[in-house]
Amino acid sequence: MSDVFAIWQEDPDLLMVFLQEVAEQLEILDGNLVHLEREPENRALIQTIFRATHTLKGSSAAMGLTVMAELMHVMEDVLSLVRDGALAVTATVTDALLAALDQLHMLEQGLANRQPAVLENPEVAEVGRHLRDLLQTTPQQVAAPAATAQVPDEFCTDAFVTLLVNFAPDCQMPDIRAYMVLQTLERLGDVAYSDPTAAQIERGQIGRRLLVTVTLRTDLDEETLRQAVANIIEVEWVRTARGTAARSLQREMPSREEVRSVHAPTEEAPAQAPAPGALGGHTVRVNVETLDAIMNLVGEMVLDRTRVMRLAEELRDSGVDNETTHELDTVAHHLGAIVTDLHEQVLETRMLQIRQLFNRFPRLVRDLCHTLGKDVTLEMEGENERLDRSVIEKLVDPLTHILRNALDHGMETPEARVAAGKPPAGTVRLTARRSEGHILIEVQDDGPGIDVTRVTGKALAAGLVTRDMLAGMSRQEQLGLIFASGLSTADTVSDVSGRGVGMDVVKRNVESLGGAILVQSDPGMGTGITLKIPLTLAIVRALIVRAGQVSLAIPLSFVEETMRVSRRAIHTVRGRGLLQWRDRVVPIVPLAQVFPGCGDVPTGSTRQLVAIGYTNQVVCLAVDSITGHQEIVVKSLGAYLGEIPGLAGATILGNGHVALIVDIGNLFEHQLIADALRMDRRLTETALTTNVA
Amino acid sequence: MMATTNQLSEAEEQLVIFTLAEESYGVSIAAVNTIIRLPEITQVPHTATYVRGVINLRGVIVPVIDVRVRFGLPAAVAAKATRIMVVEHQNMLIGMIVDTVSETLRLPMAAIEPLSPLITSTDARYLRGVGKLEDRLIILLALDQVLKYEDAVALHLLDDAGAPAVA
Repeated sequence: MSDVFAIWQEDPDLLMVFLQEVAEQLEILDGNLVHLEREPENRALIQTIFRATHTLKGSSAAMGLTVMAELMHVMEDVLSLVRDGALAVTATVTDALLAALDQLHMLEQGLANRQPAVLENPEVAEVGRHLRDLLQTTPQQVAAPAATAQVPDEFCTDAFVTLLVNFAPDCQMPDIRAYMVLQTLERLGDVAYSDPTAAQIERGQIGRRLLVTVTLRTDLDEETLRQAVANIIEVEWVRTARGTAARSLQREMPSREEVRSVHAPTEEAPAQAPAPGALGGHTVRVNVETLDAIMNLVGEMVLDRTRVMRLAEELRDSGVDNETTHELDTVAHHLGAIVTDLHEQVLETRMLQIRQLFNRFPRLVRDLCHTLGKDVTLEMEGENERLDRSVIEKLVDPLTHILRNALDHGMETPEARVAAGKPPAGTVRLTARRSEGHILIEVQDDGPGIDVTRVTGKALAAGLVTRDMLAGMSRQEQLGLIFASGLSTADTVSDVSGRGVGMDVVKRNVESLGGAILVQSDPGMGTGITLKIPLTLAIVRALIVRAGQVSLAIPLSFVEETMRVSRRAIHTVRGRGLLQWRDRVVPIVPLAQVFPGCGDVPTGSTRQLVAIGYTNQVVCLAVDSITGHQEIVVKSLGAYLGEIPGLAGATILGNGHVALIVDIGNLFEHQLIADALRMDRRLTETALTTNVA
Repeated sequence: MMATTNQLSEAEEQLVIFTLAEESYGVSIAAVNTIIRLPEITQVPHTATYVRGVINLRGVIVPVIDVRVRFGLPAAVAAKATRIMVVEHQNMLIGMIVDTVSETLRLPMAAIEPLSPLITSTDARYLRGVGKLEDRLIILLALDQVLKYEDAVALHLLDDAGAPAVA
């Protein structure tokens, strides 16, 4: 097996192209297999699934991945029975196919990470066996031999010709057509073997099977036989082989797929469900890294454009006014316009359909329903909306979590639903729509809704709020407590929804995208959770501040106010600064202390403060100065440094220097700020008294 | 033909030579992405002591380490000859601050000897051998070890809470 990896060492591009193809086809399978369970009669769906399986079989065989190719082969055999109507789509069938799909995902991961061990995983063979069992049970159900029936060896000599005949999928009466094939051939030679047999056909035992194999002893050439059979109505294609070639004919059977696509390209045109991931029009595959590199270079050009335009302005302002400066001015503006367009185009190339995000959820819901004993239909809408690919990647976890919660806590059992006068099957709607530079992604269930008194009760018990604080909160604010860290309202902690870490993490993930999360719930009306996500992650408005030698960018959406206050306005209680701000007392934390090494704690008679609000808490960060606010392009600090507490990444400022982006959610968990806030709560009264005194 | 070229490339190694505290070090040329003058480096809090910060390399944020600090020498002081040698390591770009980058040269494999502890003060785990070229000694770096991220400072974060406050 390690040979395969040796080849890849030499030709990593080959591996990449292969893995891309695998990822694409698996996505199609992910999205469609679950659908098949609900719409077992949807031919277009079966066709799409079959096609993806077939593609994977071919490419994995070409890569020498025998283990994978064999699994694909047996999957394809099962699917071809399904397609030919010889095997009903039961839960057993979809379970086996989904189990195979899981293994394919494991294989893909293993291959991507160059772990030869995945090819040895016994589970792959195990799911393959399950699928093969399905093939073997079908003959009893429909009394027709499996599609892989072999021509007996004694007929694989040159005296015999074997024909493989396939009928069009919309064929009205395949059994009658099969009979016609047999009769035609009986006139042209001695039929030695047929699958199905004439007796089976006469007894009406072949159902909607579309494939017929006939072997006959004849002197006629293959072409004559082929023509004779091809003239029969509704025969889609015929393949022939003489002698031992019949064996390979059998094995090549599934390639009818290719034959069909050549002869009847528009056959599936009015498909009921368009194939997800299908590419329309003229497209090329572009490596994501290439795209990121282009994005970086364009980002640089945007900065240079600004510099060139500024230089032109400076020249003009300094009184140099001649042909050359006019020309420079014109060029600078033209360059500016082009770069702006280019920037937009590059952003555009990074957009992916939300379908790519949503596709995985039908499977999740299906599996959760099984685990939880619930019956929930997932409805999806707006899959065609597009989002930056980095945003899509970062939404997988939050949405998975929200859906888990919706099914686990937000949905009654079928019995409880019936008792409440609702239909036994619940509905969860997952929708995406565009709104003013944002995408709104909503998860709405028709469960019992959130019991606010239970939420507040738990929050009190966990010490997250005081009774006084609760009294001053609106219902909406109280609902918002579900996002507080350490709150779980489930009576029993389940495997599905974790242990009180959850919605707070979801909230933080969404905020790290520059987005916001809202919850709406009315008793009896279900729960709706809305994520408001900027269309592109890449750009965020931020306040740029300096602390010591370092520039830091604070996302503007968290900034409540910036102010310069006299030292005398700051109270010191137990070594900590407190400021009376609006109608409350907020702690002051020097940014330099949160980020040691980024300069000294400020001194002097005034303090530059930035009030930051986060989940109803406010902290004033003391900084050296405020540079301004601007749109920043969010970049990663890279894998080498890894995750750094309190930082969400970095950006490049107009002067080419790097500024660090503050991760506000994470900052509020910083020991220093958490301590300051705790003390703030306890000492509010004291501080005010001190102030008066 | 193939055999000949293979033999050639096996028989010698092409190196980028840089100096650090008067000693010459060699890094395989294949690992070096680019060599730049010292730009403004943005410090990044909560990182290992030898991490100087990050720079903007043509729009990409690249971490920069001070090889002197990594080797237990006094930190680099910016001088005219100071360079950042950007290397590619495990699909990441990492900048290494060095005193100067002097040249590239081919070193015959036969001239490479295992390390003698007497030759250099540098921590031996960062080195993979010594090349002798005429009258020069070139210390070959074990880049994996030099670039291995060792965050010895992560724990000190907890001390912050006890730091004196403002105002």
